[in-house]
Amino acid sequence: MIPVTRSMEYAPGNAQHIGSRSEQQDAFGFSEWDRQDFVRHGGRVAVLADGMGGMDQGAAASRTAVTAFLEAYGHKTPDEGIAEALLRAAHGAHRAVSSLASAKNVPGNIGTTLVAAVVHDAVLHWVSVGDSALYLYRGDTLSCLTTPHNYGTELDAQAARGDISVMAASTDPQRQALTSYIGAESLDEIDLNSEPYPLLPRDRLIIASDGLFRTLADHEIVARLKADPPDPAISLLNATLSKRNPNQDNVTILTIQVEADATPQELSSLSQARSSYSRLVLPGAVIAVVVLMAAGWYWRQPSPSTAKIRMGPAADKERFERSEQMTLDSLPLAQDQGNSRPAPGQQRQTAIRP
Amino acid sequence: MSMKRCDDGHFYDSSKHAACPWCGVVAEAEDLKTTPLKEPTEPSRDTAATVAVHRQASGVSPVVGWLVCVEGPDRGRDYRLRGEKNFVGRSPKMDVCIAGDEAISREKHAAVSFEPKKRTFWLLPGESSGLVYLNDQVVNTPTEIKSRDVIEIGRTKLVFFPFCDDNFHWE
Repeated sequence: MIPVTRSMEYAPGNAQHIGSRSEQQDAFGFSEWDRQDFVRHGGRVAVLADGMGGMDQGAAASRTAVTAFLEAYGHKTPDEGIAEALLRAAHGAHRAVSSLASAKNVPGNIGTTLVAAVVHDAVLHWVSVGDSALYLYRGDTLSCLTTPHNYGTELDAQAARGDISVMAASTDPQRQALTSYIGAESLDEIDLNSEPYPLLPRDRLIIASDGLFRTLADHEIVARLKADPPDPAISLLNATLSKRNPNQDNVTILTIQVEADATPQELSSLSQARSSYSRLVLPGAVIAVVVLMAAGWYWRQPSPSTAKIRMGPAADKERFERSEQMTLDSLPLAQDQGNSRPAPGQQRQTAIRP
Repeated sequence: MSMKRCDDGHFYDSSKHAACPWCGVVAEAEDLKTTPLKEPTEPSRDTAATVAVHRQASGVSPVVGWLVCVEGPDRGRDYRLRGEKNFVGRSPKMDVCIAGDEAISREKHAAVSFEPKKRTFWLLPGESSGLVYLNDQVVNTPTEIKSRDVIEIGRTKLVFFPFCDDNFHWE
């Protein structure tokens, strides 16, 4: 199905800082990178969780979620698909955090975001709940692959429909309030890509808590990555802290650098293969939606009957490719503000051209 | 760079760190909160080394180095460093208690650690809002420190002197 099946090397990186907060409520972890028997079918996974500071036990929530997620994903068998395993692991994290809340006698009042990415055989899978982000940096373009589950996303959708004004949407004080998170009484939304996302040599994946993208504008992230630092996670952390933001939130940055010894001709053929893949993938995406929604129904815990699994469909890849022609000047106004996140169905892209 | 994965799934450069720098501070901080045996005595006005004094009483951790305050409200005072992590802050609970500088956070503004296997010293950013500088460079990640390096924290400047090094080490 996917023409790109070459072996690639993946170099992990991580960096974290407490910012100006009194407690570190972000947590993260990687799977065992060199455990080949598992990597062959399960790939390598990176997971980040950002505990909710307005609730009890934010630090415990994020650590519990990361531990439970990695443990659940580690139980994946060769027969289970990666997307299904990601969904199962997300529900496992949700159950663990919910149990923690019950044990503390504050059900529904312990919460965390969670975003995880799996790289396997030159493709990317991800799952996200909440507003932590997964970015792809390719060429000179930064693309946010995940959609934040916050009220701002809903407000932007209402503004796009003309139900409310853009001003009302952009100034609502509740914009950053999460509409779905691990530990919520009802896990309403899960962001899951429906089809494996093809990776190319020199791609950079960045998983970050909001301490990064609420302090650094997209073009500042791009500027750092464009310099090709040996450790992009540390570089982005330094860029964040150099802002001296007095309200700097906890910041955690995970990176996966895709390495392959490819010639320009190989890169060109890979790019062409990806284009034809985009045209072929839609029927597969429809099938995957049906399968995964059934899977979501099966694993609905603790209250899944209302769960919406938002797929990042093949159309996302086409938008991404179109975006490679965008420049800073052509970006919509909201994206110039730097701290905006994409509306439903939109991806955020920033490009700096020489 | 030789990246190693710790038991909690964090990656770190094992050529620089004997243990994971991303999970060490949290574990130590929890120990401080939850282990009664490590509750400090009142700080000595002479040394301001509080938890460290307690550790010495148990025979666990002898002096491995010093910090000397050369600028700030506590100018002229010295602070003993013991094995592993030494937390710096205004609170008497801190291993290095710089009580006179209001610009320093009460707890865990920074930490200085001694890594006994390689006999190296490291400056670590703490868990508070305040920044810490090493030789005028902000410290965001664990950074190795050498003799006579200057650590700036709040309005205080501290000069670092190692005791344990290639020439001497507590057996």
